[in-house]
Amino acid sequence: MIDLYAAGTSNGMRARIALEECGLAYTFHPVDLAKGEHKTPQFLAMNPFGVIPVMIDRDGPGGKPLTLHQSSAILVYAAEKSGRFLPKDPAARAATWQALMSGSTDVTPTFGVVNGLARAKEPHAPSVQAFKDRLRALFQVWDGLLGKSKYAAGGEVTIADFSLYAGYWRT
Amino acid sequence: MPELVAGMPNLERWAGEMAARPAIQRATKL
Repeated sequence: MIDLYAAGTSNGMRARIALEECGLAYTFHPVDLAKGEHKTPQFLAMNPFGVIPVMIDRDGPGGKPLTLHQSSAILVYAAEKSGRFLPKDPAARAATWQALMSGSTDVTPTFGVVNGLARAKEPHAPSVQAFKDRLRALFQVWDGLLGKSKYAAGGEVTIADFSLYAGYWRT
Repeated sequence: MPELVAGMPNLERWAGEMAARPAIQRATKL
């Protein structure tokens, strides 16, 4: 059984989408970020970075428990554990990594900055606009890519789509 | 912030397909 501690953020949803799409049984533990539940000693014992998501697979490799606290790592782990959404062909697999990273390290952090700046007590309008422009530019590239291929990394759904959608979803 | 993805038909098509997947619907239902 897998336990997932997450909230409705892009990173939290990336991990939850991974488990749902890969058909892995799990128990969802909502984490109330507003109440600081991700900063409690109990949570920090699972993830010293104090951020969601955290996944604990009680039946990990070798039958031993495994804890992961990076949404993209959870995404890859779920795909490998289930044998789904990860191409075997080396070129297609490389394309999947590339698209996955764009969703996880380009789109999602940029959205996070926009969201954080916009919610500041005194938002700095030029900074908000600069990061909005950067995010829109990223989406424009993706719009072009998705005009050439059906899915993020080619003709089949892969974990790259889940990574990108998690970043897109809250926009 | 829908203005950030406005006028992007390919992205919209893809996002619509993703949103229709039952597993994604379950995952994003909080």
